[in-house]
Amino acid sequence: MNNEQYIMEHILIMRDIEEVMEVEGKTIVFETNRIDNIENIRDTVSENNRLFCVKLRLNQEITSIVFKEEWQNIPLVFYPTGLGNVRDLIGALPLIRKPNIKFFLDGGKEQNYEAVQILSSLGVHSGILINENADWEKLTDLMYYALCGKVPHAPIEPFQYLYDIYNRNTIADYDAVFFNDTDVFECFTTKDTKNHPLPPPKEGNAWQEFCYEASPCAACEGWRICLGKYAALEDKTECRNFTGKWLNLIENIKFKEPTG
Amino acid sequence: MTNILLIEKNKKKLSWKNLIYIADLFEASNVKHLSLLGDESALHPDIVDYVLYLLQRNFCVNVVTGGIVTNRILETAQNYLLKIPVENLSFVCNYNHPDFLTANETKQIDKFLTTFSKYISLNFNLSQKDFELKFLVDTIIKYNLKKHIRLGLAQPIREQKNECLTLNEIRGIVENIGNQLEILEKNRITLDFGCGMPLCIFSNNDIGRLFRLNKGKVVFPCCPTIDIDTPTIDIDTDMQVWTCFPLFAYEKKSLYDFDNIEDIQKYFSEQHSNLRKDKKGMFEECKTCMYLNELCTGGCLAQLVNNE
Repeated sequence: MNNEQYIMEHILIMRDIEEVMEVEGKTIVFETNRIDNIENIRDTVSENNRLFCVKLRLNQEITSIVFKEEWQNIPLVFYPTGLGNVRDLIGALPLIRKPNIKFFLDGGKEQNYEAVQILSSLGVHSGILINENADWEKLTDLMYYALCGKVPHAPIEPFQYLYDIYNRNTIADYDAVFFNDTDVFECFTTKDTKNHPLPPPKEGNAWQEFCYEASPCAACEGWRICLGKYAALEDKTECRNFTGKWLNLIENIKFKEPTG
Repeated sequence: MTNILLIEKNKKKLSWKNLIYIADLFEASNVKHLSLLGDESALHPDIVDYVLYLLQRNFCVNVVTGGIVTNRILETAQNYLLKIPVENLSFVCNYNHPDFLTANETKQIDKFLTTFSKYISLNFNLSQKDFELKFLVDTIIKYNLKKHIRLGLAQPIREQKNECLTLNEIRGIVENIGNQLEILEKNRITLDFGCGMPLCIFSNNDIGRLFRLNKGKVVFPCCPTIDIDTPTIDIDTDMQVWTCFPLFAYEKKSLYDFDNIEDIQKYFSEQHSNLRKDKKGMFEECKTCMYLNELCTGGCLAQLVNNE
């Protein structure tokens, strides 16, 4: 699973193993909240399709997950509630410091910013889910750490993803890294949509509506990487500061003129 | 060596974000030893996690503590730290004479010394001219601690009144140390001087005995300049940096002002050189001493600065 795959394939998001058995030759993200069934999911999906990853929405912290050796070749993206104690994480590191495992934590919880930084600094691929409850100051600190850290560390999403796909001639959307980009992921499930609604399909270039309506988002410095994701916020000062700094930083790093 | 303050007197605690920044800076500078200390470092709620985190980042970790640890932290430490090899983790326990401890403190320290004996060496700061080392020796033997004592000198702290020795009293303590070398020799316990102990106060006889006791390693450093040219760095919870606790009110810089550890050491080395330019050392005779900078740093820098 790498960032290039996101944009090359049209991928199905599914939640029902019965439904999986009805399709063939597809690439599938399988969403589940059951951690006890991962190997079965891998086997069933792989029978006639390709498994993009298992997306695990869990009501538990990382350190309460019992990781298994058998998962080492299964692409897994965990959505746990938090990290837990670092002392309990250390023992699990050999099993989770792997390219096939990622952890995405909710940016609405203050302690998750330091959790993501800890994970990344210990070599674990992780990410912060940016939403309207984000702590923009902590998010900004995390962004600088993700892109300008003094020593090598594991990628932090969506910062790494956006950095990789950013092209100064066009817009850049990081939704795909969290499976929310309906240009890339096609929702193909009827299960559990009430508790976990799927992102609505995009209607053409819906982001252009912001420009037609003269929304303040369309005039924002960070528009090209935000595309109005936080438009519902009444006060947009903080998200504007954040996305502006983010865009500038990517520009400065990616297109910095060589010196000397 | 770098000391990171985990808790300050105002109870402010070092955050994870700052710890990670420090670890990154040191890793980038290829410095792999860190020392955690503070008003009572072992009471930081995340102390065990911090130690394990730094070990995971391939640092060797030393924790300076008074040994007063809550049962909860001690239990966690016991479960997680006793597996760590002694080469990677150590504790320096600032140990006071039991007569100055409450019953509860004694009980807590006893548990700490018993549990972590193989990791612990004792430190004793001289703040009075009359002292004895026997209680330290007894403690080392009782708990089977590392056979080493670090003897420091309490120094005058700028803008504060604290208990410390005068210059004349420092000259006088050497007789007391000399009289107590026998008990160390008998028990093969090594002794080093942590802070500002000048060479000239010792007789040739005592230096010879110390040389043999310590298997040839006898140095007379000033704490901020243990290796003469590489100052020991202190970093507080607000990421301010300085060298040596008694000098903390002299001049602090922000850790963010520096790109690497070498630059910090260079900055403070120059500062120290300037401070020692006129007076050289804490005694008048340091100015003409042939051993200055070769075998001795001229005693404590804080004595020069804070007695002005």
